[in-house]
Amino acid sequence: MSAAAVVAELPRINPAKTGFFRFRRFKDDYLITNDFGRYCVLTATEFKSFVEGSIDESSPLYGKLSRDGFIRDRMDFDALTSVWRTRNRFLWQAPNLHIVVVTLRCNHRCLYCQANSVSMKDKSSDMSLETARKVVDRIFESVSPAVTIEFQGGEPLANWPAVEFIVDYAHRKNRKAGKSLWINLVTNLSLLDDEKLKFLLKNQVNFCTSLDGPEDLHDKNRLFVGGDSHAGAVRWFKEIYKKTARKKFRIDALLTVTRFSLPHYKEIVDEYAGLGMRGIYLRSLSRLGLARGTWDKIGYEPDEFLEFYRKALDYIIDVNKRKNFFEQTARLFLAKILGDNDPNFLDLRSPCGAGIGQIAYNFDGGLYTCDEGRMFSRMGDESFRIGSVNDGSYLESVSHPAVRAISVASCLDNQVQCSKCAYKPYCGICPIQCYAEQGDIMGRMPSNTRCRIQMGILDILFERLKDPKIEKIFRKWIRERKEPVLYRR
Amino acid sequence: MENAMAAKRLKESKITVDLAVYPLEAVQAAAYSLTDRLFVRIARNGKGSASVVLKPKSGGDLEALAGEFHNEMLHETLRLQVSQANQKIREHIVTKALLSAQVPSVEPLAAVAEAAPATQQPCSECEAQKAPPASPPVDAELEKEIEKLLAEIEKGDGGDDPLGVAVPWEEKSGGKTGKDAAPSRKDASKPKAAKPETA
Repeated sequence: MSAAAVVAELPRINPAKTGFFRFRRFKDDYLITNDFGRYCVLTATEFKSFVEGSIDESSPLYGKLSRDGFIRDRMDFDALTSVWRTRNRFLWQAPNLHIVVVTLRCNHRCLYCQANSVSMKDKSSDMSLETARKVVDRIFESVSPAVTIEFQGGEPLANWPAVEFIVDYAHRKNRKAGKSLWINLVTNLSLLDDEKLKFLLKNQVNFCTSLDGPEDLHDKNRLFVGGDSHAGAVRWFKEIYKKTARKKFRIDALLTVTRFSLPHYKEIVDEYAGLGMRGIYLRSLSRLGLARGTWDKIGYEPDEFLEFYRKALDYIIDVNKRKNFFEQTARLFLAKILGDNDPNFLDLRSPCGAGIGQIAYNFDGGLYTCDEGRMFSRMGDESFRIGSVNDGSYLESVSHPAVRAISVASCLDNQVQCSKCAYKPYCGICPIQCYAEQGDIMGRMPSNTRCRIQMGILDILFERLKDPKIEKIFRKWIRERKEPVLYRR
Repeated sequence: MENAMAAKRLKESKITVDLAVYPLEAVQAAAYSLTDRLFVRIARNGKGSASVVLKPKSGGDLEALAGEFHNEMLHETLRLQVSQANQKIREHIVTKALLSAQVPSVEPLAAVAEAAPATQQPCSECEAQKAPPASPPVDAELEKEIEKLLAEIEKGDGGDDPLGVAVPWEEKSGGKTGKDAAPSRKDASKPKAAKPETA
């Protein structure tokens, strides 16, 4: 079999006319994108003409391609430079997301728990107030003018003294530092009481809870020996939702999609919309923590998730005929596809935010590149530890070899497949998930689960974007992006 | 024995690729992109061509996979051409963007970790952000600095490479394979910073 026979099919590039582009076959068409996030869907004939530089210069298509930086001799360097800089502005930012694990204790036993939580009786993983103070001191060493402190666990409310201390101390420190401070509590809400709620609302703390859908489904995924997880979460959700109405801080919920969720996309969306939420985040499961052991029961193939995602997205688009309701993964991608503002979603940028956009602080003061890196520590692998609040410096941590290695691995220009992928301007990789799945932080994209899911979602979005009515809905989702919940005291 | 050999042959497809038509990089890239479905073996056969053996990992239509491999070689060749033709212009824009952004008044930017499924999750709204900073002007002096840097990149003396890590494998083992390589393709693939000893 000789490959020479098909050479005639190869269009000849006109180097004087054809600017840089990446492309992807899109059924019978070609999707082209460039470094500035601009895209265009071309028929096979248009694609050939574009590559060969023979598109009629008076045609609307030529005008669009020129405006979007695809035509080499029509490039406005100043404008394109500005767009590139705007889309990559996170490159000039220091870590601003600080994930603090105040305890590993948890009263839930979720089937997919990545944190490998411990029993409520085992207080050995509670962060001491001395460590908590050092954590806040280290956080405020970040040169970033914006600081987000996010409590994770375990269940953070199981170590209430540490939460209370950190919230209070951070605000006191910030009176001098004058940073934009944002505090976020990720909680299952089961240990909340009126007194704690009063303190948290007074200190303008954002809440984020887990809600896996209707009661049966939620309680199947999220085992709670202390009662009905769903009922408790919904009760507190409604109360906080009411109390934070028209405030700058608020409560949101997140969904984790397991195998059990797949047939219930409608009920899940209805549950979220019924609670008054502005949208839903359809997130696939990662094979980390407990999910590694329970994968056979709760896991799925990328194609199965994508089928779920496609049906759910179409249902959400349908819901938009009655009310505004977005899907968050789509919204993150669409922000970059239809606009120039990168949402700074740390795993959808190049390089990712590990160590340079975020730092995770473990209960014992250990520092990790990110929460996933910290989770590996729970599995006995300290590859992603970048220091401790008890010694070393902020600078040593953010320039730690592990941070540099992950930055190199997640820089899409260094990735064989990603560097030439049409979806590069919108995508990102998580080296730690690559490490978990493929034993290598560089990963191998052709067989990488996350890559297949991201590409599948982008395929669905570009397919839907062909319909002007849907594009209008998508644009609305982006316009509805709120200004940051950043505030000063 | 003969039957077994025949069965094995049926499960593999051997393709001969003219390296004057398809650069070796394109052949390698096409092979890599199909590694989820195929085992691939590439060998130079000494006559300006390479042989590629494709073997499906788990069944699959071998003929269809071989067809896909051919299409991928075409795509990868085009990608290489586009990349090579636009390399300088892209370096210019990125260098200019990186240097001209060194201004102090960068707006705070919120961030969010990827929502990793755990008992609790980061807030889905954390990605909210402020409007991007206004583009700083690029003054004449900065423009000169950019031009200087670009000239350095072009000269290929942008950085030392004492360990020779920037030298492609094909060049390192040039004694064995260089004779068979298509010279124009090989030269085109040489990284601009790969002149360690002569700088």
